[in-house]
Amino acid sequence: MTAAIKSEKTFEEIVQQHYEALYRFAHSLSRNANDACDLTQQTFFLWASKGHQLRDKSKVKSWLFTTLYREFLGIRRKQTRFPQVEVEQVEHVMPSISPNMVNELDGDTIVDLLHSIEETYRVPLTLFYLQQHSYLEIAEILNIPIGTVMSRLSRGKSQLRTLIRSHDSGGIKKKIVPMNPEAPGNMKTGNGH
Amino acid sequence: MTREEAKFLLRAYRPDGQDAGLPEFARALEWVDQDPELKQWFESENAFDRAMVTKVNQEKVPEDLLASILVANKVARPPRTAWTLGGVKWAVAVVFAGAILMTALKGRGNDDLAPFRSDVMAHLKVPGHQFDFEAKNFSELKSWMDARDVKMDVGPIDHLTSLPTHGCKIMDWGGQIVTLICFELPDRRNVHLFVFHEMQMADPKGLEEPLWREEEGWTTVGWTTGSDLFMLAGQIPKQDLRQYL
Repeated sequence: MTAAIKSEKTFEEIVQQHYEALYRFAHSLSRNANDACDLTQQTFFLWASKGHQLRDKSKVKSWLFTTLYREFLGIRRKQTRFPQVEVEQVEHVMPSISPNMVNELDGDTIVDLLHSIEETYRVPLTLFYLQQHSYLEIAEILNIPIGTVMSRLSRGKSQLRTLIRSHDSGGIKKKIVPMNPEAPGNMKTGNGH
Repeated sequence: MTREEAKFLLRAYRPDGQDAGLPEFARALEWVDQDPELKQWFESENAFDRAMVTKVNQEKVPEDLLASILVANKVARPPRTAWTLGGVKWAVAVVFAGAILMTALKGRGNDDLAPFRSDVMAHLKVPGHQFDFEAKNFSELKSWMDARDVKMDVGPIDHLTSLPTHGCKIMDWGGQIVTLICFELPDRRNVHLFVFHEMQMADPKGLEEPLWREEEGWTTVGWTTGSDLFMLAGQIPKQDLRQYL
């Protein structure tokens, strides 16, 4: 709309500031680049139409991440019911991983490994590593208790280390079952664009 | 606090020190200073997290994503979701065939508002649209529009502004801005006000007298003031709507 274009002088600035982190978060959620783009775009679409209702402008970042996460949950609810899968218990013991092991892996591999983590732990861990949010903000975005965030970060790191070590020792053992192995790429935001 | 409890807390501590000021971590950090084993663990944990942060934040973002977000905003339309408010199903026009009105007004000058009225009615009856902004009073809606440099002057019917409101919408009509405000009457019925500021008309004088129409339970009235065009529409009898002019 003409008016919207005229009015949202800060829209572009907000997009510039947050779109990369939002995309990475969306990618972690959906594990599909196209879906991540759709989610990111939908989030900014919602910001353009509803963002003005946010009175505390210091909460823009949280608003965007919360909105994206809710959009993801909403879309997923509409998809075919996921088969229940048993996720193999991962020992809650931190495998010893040196930072060099991380540094030696290329970025895509690290992202793939991160995406292999069970969703419950992957989501807060991605927010944590995006350096955008404190554990308090993560609790707010995901609407879970603070203690739960800490617990999930701890377990998520444990899973990540296990995966890195497995990869480093010659191949990932498929300990973590993808949440939705059948339908990557099926997600539609339905925003009409 | 035990060493394991400190570790549990510090796993949520961001490695760049952003959380240093948070009191929740204060005691755990004190432990770090006092316990060499914990300190070694913390340094290792931080190094691992820093390496992860670097890798995660290096993930490439599709090159066209930024442009597509910005372009999408310029052609944005409201979500296609049905919407109800207080049990009342709203039917608010989103996009009109503006060219019809523009052509009609430019070409006919002193003709009535039939083409526009017809278009408004057709769209008011279509369910499933949203307001751009919802607020219970006019001043809040006006502030919202002012913030967007959108003119909203209801001069000739200023008394309407004391009524409660439901929301407003800004529409692009053939390159012209059209605003809509929905007021709630004391009897809970609603009346929609469409305002076209600085309308391009061949002969606006011919439209200064209110032009009424009643059809299918709806009443509409349109008129101009200078180059501004106003139209009220509602599912109420003419005699009821007349008192708000």
